[in-house]
This record gives sequence, structure tokens and C-alpha cells, in this order.
Amino acid sequence: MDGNLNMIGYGLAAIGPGVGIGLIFAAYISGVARQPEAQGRLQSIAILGFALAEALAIIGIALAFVL
Amino acid sequence: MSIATSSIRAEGFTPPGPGDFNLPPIGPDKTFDWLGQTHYIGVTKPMLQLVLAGVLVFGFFYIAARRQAMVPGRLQFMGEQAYGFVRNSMGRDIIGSHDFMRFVPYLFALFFFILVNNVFATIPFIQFPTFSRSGMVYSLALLSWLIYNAVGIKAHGFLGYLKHQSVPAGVTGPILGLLIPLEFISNIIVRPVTLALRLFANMLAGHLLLILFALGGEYLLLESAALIKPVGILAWLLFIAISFLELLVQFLQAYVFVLLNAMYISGAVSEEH
Amino acid sequence: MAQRPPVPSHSEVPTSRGDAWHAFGALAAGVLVYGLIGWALDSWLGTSFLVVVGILAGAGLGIFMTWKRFIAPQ
Repeated sequence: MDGNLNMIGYGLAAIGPGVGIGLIFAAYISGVARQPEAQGRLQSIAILGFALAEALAIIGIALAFVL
Repeated sequence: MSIATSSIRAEGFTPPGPGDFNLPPIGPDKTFDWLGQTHYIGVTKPMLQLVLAGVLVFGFFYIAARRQAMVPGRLQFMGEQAYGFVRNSMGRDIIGSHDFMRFVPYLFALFFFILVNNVFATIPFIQFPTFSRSGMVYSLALLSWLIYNAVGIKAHGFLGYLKHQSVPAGVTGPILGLLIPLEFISNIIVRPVTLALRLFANMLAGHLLLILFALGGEYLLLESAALIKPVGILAWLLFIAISFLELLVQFLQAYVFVLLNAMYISGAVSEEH
Repeated sequence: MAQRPPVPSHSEVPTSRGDAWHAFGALAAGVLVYGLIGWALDSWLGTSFLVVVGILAGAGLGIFMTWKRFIAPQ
């Protein structure tokens, strides 16, 4: 079987951030649905959470190519 | 590892790869060498598709707008709805009602050009997404990059524009030295690359998946043991299902490309910090 | 149909100072730039771990920049 173990590792590592970002934006959508006036404040927190969860996916893909 | 591979070996099946997207030229087969690679001289199918898409988009909107009746007929109504979709939801809502009209022709032409080229992947007898050739996508991203930088420089002046793009808001002190190159690279280099890469990777991966299902299903049906043949039919059913998904992805990618263009233009022109 | 109030456009509504693409671009640029600096230092000094340090530092700086842009002004 040809291929690179790095890519299998990256594929597995991308499950976590995928689920995490889905949870974050699900909470954001229900928060805005309950109280649309809060959209501005909730958007800042949602984007910070997105950045934190996405950091792991980006570190994963960078290390998959580098190491 | 070897037990798993020995029971599912498929002799004679070469899986499709990105090399399948290099279509041969129509006509004489002359090649030349440049930078260590052989290139074709000639007109290939994606080039013809680009021209066809341009002709289709221009032709449709020209015919729709020709009569300009006060009470529109069906074709004019469709054209007006299509134009209004780009002008309102992407032009006015993102760039602001002051100076969005300058950019609406570009956004409007770009959206329908990309949409028609993407949908070519689903139309029978064409069945090739033009933007799975990366050169075409990067040229579009280069044009967008030139436009939003030129607009920003005209609005803020060259040094003012660099300061606008490179200095993050609300940060003072020595950490600014670490953050300025980061913000500069993020706004000036990463943006066009991700813009192009998103469209290109989506089109390439989607079409590669479809090719794999079609060829794999055919291989399983024709050349495998009798018990495994139904898996070939299943592969073809999945091919149909994923074609519908690809229609959605084609529309979505065109929309996201133009939406991000509008946001970058709005960010370059805006008066914040 | 009654007259609808004019919809405020993206640049007029006082919401946050950016959007998700700013956050993603900051993160990707941080990893890219500081990973590159780490790799250059690696090939200059002959070590092998500075690339990873650079990538992690870049990710951290990207998160810091995102936090500054979105949470700190409030």
C-alpha cells in the first residue's frame, strides 16, 4: 500500500477540529436564534472559538507536510 | 497491513489522479520544453470552455436586457433577478451603499462566469470543470488581488494603505514588531492564495471523486468476482448522488468566491482604524 | 406593501471588527511566516526542531491577533 503515514495522521487529526467548529457554530446559531440583538457580541466570541479550534487543524496540516 | 492488502488487491485498475486532468490539445500535437516540463501548443478543451462560458453569459444578459420594457417579460425578469441577486446581496450589503456601484459590473460578470464554468462539470458531453486547471483560477485571483489593492491605494495612499493593512487595531508596544509581518502576509499574500485554492481544490477534488466512482464501478462490474459485482452498481448509485452534491458545491464556490472578493474590496476601502 | 426601513450595510453596522476569514487568514499567515522563519533557522543552525517551534509560535501569535481584534476592544 503506497502513501504516506503523515496523511493518515492528518486525516485523523482533522476529526477533532471539524467536530469542534461544528459545535461552536451550532451554539452561535441557537444563541442568535433566541436573541437576535446579541448577534454582534456573540459573533466575536464565536470567531475566537473558531480560531482556537482551527489552530489545531492548521498545525496538523503544516506538520503533516514538514515532518 | 499485508493481509488487508492481499485480499482486496485490484490488478489492472489504475486509480485516477490529477494527471487525468491534463487534456490533450485539439489539432496538431506540437510540444515545447520550458523550465524542464513539456507543454502543448494548441487549443485544449478547457480553453474552449472558457470562451464558450464568456459567450453564453454575455449572450444571455444581452438578449435579456435588449428590450428594457417597463413591464418585463420572462427573460428580462430572469435577467433582472440574477443581476439583482449579485448587486444587492453582494454589492450593496457588503461594500456599502456609497460606492458599491463601481464594483458591481466586475462582481456580476465574475459570479456568472465562474458559475457557468463550474456547471460545465455536470453538463453531458462537456463534463469538465474548467477551474480544475489551477492556472485559470490563479489568474482570476491575481485580477482580484490587483483590483482590491489598487482600490485601497487609491483610497488611502500607498503608505496609508500599507499601514491600514499591516497594523492591527488596538495593539501597542513591542509585540507590534512580531505582528506586523504576520498581518501583512495575511492580508496581502494569504488572501489571494486561499481564494484561488478554495475554488481550485473544490473543483478538482469533486471531479476526481466522480471519476473514481465511475471508473471503479465499471471495474468492479466487469472484472471482479460475481459476489462483488453489486458493489459496482452501488458505486454508480453513489456517483449519481455525489453529482447532485457537486451541483450544490459548484454554486456555493462561485458564490463564496465573489462574496470574498466583495469583502476584500470593502475592507480595502473602509475607513476603520 | 409598507415601506421597509433601509437595511444597514456591512460596513455601517457596528458589529465586530472583522469576520471568520480574518481569523483564518491570521492563523494561516502566522503558521506560514513563523514556520518559514523556524525552517530557515533550522537550516542555518543545523537543528531539527525549530520548525515545530516556529509553527506553534505562529499559531499562538495568530490566536493572539484574533483575540485582540475581536474580544479585547469590548
